[in-house]
Amino acid sequence: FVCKLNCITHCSALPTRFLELISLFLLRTNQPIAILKKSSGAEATRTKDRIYAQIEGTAACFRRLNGTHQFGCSSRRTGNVGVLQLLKEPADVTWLTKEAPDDTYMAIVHSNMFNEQTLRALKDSPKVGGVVLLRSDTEENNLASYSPEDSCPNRYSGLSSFEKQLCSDSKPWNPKGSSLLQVDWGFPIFYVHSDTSIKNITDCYVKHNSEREGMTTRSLCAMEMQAFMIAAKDSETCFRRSNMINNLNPMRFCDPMGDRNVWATLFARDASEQEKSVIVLAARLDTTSMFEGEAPGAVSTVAGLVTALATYSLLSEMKTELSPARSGGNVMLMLFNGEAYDYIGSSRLVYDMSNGMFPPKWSNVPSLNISKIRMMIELNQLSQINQSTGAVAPMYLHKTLDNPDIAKFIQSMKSQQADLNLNLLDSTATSIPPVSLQSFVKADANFPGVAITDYDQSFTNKFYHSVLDDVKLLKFKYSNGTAPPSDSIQAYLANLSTALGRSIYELIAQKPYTGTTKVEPTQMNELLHCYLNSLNCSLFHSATNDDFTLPEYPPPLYVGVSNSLNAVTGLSGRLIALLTGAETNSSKEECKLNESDVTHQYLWMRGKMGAGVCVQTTMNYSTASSPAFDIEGYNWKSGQYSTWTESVWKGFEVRIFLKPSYGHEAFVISFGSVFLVFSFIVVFFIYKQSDIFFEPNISNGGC
Amino acid sequence: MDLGKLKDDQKLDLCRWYFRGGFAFLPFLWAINAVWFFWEAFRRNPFEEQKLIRRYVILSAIGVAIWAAGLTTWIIIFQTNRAEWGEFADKISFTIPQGIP
Repeated sequence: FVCKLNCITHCSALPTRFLELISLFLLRTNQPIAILKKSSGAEATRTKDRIYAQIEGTAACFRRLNGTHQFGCSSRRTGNVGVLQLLKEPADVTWLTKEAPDDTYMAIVHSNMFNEQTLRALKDSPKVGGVVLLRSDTEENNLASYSPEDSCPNRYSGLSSFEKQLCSDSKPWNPKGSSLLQVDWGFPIFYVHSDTSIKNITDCYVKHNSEREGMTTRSLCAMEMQAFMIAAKDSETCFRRSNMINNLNPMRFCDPMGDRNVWATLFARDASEQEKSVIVLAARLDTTSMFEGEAPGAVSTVAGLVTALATYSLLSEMKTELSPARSGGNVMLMLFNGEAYDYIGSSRLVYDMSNGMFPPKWSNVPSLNISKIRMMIELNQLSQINQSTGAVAPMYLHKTLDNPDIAKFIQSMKSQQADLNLNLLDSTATSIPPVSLQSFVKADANFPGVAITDYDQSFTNKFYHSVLDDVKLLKFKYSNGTAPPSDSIQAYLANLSTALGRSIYELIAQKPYTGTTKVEPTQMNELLHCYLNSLNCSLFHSATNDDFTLPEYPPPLYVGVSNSLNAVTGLSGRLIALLTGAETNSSKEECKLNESDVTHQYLWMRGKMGAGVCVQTTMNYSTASSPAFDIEGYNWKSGQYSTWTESVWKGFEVRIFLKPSYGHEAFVISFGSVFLVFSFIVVFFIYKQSDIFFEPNISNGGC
Repeated sequence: MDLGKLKDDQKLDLCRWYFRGGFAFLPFLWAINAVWFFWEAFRRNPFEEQKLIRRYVILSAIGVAIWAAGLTTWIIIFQTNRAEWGEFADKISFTIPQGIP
């Protein structure tokens, strides 16, 4: 039944019967078709799954741009491929850059080797295609410091144009800063935190690559990284390109960074607001790190944030006593977002204030401007890192200028030191640290403000803006059910909040607080748990309704891009409403914005009882995105506002596979080519001699 | 299209139209003209219309050469200077490359 070649078109019965016989011959079973059909079904693995092993649980370093430069990491469009090499000590780095055979490598390091010296050597070497940082508890526990931020954070923004306020490189604010975030690496860097992935990578390396002898002749474990970044050069270029329509397929190259600020006022604002009547209680909402999705910010952000929340909540409890004595005074809680990137939130607020846009015009309530602020108290990094044994960890008060209000405030705080077991000292620094106050002093040189921090002239936080600024660094242990111990961070911050609340009370009411309400360590315990351990905590649970699903991991505090809102901002706003708002009797359907009462928002949440309640609150959000993207014809090189953007990317992927040696690959190619040529010769020969091989033409219906 | 099936004056018409068409910024018409009618113009035994066909073929070839030189020069200049030209280069680009300045 094997037809002559030129009657193939008429042979319809050929395929099935032919396949049956072939499979019968090859498989020697009775059911060839069934087996063929089975192997083409769902249980089959694709060829690519047999070659590559996906590495899950990674966080990528990506590209960010500002008005003048690009920073961060990017791979080639088709991905970067390299043979894995573990670098345990500096001698390994020298071997890799100088003596290793000519090939592309991916460097595996642990946090002890992830420093400026190693990374710069790898960056300069043409043999390195990427870096993998493996999480390792043993290495991280022994690490003395790791800060990828600049030694002078926000070096070119804020008050940097004022010589007296310049952060000097000889005595910088962040002495352990290695500026890794301000480098344009030419290759991708991934952080692997999943234990199974770390094991896969290390096992693969140990099995195939650890032996340096004879590397060129055997198969090696290699890795491919996909982290292609679409934006390039600087924000001006990528923003312009994103807004240009050249063809029918408009592309977005980069997105401006930003999110929302959260604010609330203790008493609802009205038209009777006087000059210098508002005391602003401020803190940061954001932090950053080199890797996407990993920004715990325990010391840099969370400590100050929860202290501000607890203080504001305490003031809210004191409202009944404060209200008759306030004489027009008010307290505004302000949580700034995007401060890590040239003060996005605070500079935007100052810009809005100077243009009468904050808050947006409400009927007859005028907008807030800087002159209405009596004083700003900012809570920056707070911790007990600087604690000497037996003593209380000190806190430093940085003031922007000397005036009677500030003097009164500081005096009031210090008078409570003994009762509340605090240690408050005046800072000896000659310039204002990199805190949000800088944006306000930039607009008004006589702006009165005090920053409370755990550092004097340089940060005590040795892991500023890194993935290691986490719950362990703050030494927070969630105390489930029992009261936290008196030397814990919860008790420490609770005491600070109490002192702050009472001092602010005294400033407004002109007389000391004589009550007994204070911030309990248990409340601080719950607040810290929410921001450091798990979003699925009792406070956030009470502050939300069934529309929200709360995950188990702690919130990443990176500011992200303006068109994608962070969960933690919304949750913080709701938390403020839960702690300080007024419960109303409205039902869920009625719980929305009231036309006649624009200074309040209405939020439906489970509430403290869990039954569902409509809360009336003065809490609101304000845009925290840089004015640079809104101003027509803004000069991107001027440094006036933050110009930070994030590049758009298609996706991140890491996978490992076995790469054959050069000799193996060359053999396969040459064997294939030879076989190809040989097959042409054979077919040509058969064609020429076809009348010997095949029977002569019989009749029409023959095939 | 098989030139063998055409009469000589039809061939001349075709060659002429291709030549005229090339002036509408279509250098590929000239390129095809020059290649397609090359045998007719130079390799065949002389016939009546051959002189005209020969002229059109030569002119088309010259036109293609000028276009090729011009395009090559522009492409080299643009590709090497696109990054430096910044905004102007972006404005005249149909597709802006990703990931590079």
